[in-house]
Amino acid sequence: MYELFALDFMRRAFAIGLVVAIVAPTIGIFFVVRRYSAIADTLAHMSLAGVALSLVLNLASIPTALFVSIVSVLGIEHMREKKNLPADTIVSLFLFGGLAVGVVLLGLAHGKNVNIVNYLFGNIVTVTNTDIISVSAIGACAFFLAIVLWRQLFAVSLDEETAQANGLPVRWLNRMLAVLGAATIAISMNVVGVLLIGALMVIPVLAAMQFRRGFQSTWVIALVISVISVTLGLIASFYLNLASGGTIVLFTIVCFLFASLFSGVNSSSLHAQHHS
Amino acid sequence: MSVSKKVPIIQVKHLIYERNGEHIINRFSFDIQAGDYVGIIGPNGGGKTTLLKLLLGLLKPHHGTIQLLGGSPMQASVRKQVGYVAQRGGNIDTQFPATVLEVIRSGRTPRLGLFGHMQEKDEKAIKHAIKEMGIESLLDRPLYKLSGGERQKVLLARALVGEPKILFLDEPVDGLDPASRDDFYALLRKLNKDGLTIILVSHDVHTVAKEANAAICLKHQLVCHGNKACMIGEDELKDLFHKDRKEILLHHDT
Repeated sequence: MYELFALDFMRRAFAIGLVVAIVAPTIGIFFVVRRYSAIADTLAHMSLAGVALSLVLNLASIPTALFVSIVSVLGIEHMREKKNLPADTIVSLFLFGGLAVGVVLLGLAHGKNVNIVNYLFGNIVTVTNTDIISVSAIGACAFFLAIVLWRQLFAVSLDEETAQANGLPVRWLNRMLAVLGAATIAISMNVVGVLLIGALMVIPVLAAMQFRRGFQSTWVIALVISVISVTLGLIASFYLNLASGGTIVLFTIVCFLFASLFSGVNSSSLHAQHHS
Repeated sequence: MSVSKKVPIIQVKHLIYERNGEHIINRFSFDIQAGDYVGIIGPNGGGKTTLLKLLLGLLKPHHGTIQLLGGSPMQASVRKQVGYVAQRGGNIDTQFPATVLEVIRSGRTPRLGLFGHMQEKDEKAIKHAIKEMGIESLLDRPLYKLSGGERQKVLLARALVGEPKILFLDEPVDGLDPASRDDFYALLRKLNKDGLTIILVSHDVHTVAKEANAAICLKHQLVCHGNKACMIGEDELKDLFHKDRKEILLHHDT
């Protein structure tokens, strides 16, 4: 195992992986409980458009992807508030729009030695020191803001109408959450890739929800599942020569299955006790 | 929570609200005094919930004015002084992963400000609301494990931790069994006795006649407003429900 940490690129992979493992479920839990997880995929496609733009214009990929995602997500929120179109239609519009822009721009950047597979499926071993700085800075800001606004985001996610009736700035909080989602997507690109980003935000939370605990406990369990999945995923992908993104997501799914099984046993034994 | 009597706490003037060109609320004007227990009554689709949402500032009127606690219901400072219990647990997902205590504590959040934290007075208000509702034994229970009656008590406790001056309730006992209904109304009576102004939306004439001390009867138009005696008049009931008084009261008794 020690040889793993003797390698520079693996140390970088673990550093960036753990940042994402902590931030993704922290923001993802609010999307999951609001049944709004489809937005993660949309933002991922907008990030791809951002990466493609950065390649065409020779800009840094993560900040450009972040900028494009934020602009898009604010557009989605604006259209959602207007209520002229159903929320899922708006999300689809941006999802396919982002993908189309991304594909066209990647075509323009074709001559620039671009490996599109790295962006689609993630390649954590290609992470640079600059990426670590960007991811850590953006991740720390997103995590800090989520913790500071935790109570407000919880109240709005639980019951938006009552939160608004009681004077919480619901519109502002929704936009802030959308921006935090965009930040999470932008920093997760190298770890799991555009096509699997949503999984890291959603599956650990879904697994944690199987235990049917309170909100704080669900978040803590989701964090543990996420960190375990990223750690085991990186180790397995190193020794078995597997794609890191897919391996990490497969571990989250294994955790989900274990959680479903364990929580099922737990509740049936409680049920049996209750009737005895 | 106590407020002096006979001060207009809500003033509505020439209120109009339209949906798809149709008048849902047509030229309403009325006052509500501090300490009142007002029933908003009318048939389904008559505009009761729309009126409640206008009073809460969740909808914007097309014409007219609403003064709530001396300000506009759109102002955050005014909204922080109201409590709201929505119909059948409101928009809360039954599978939402939260304990009873987490839900109740969230009712205090608007009072804390955007970056504020719970202080001793906040914890005191939370403990008081829990005690008043008698739900100490439920605090660690997940939301999905509650019965309908327990759920409504928890939501009432969430509304009370904000120490509101006015409590709005939209058909709060809809779907509850008779014992839970009686229990819930007894809690409301006690809160009103302690000085809290209560605005209760209901389609149940009998309950409003029994519980409230004033009524607003509507069916897109304001049929009557004021003393609850107006509500159980023969003509008003016929206007509202197209049924005889005897038939309506008999229906709600059963």
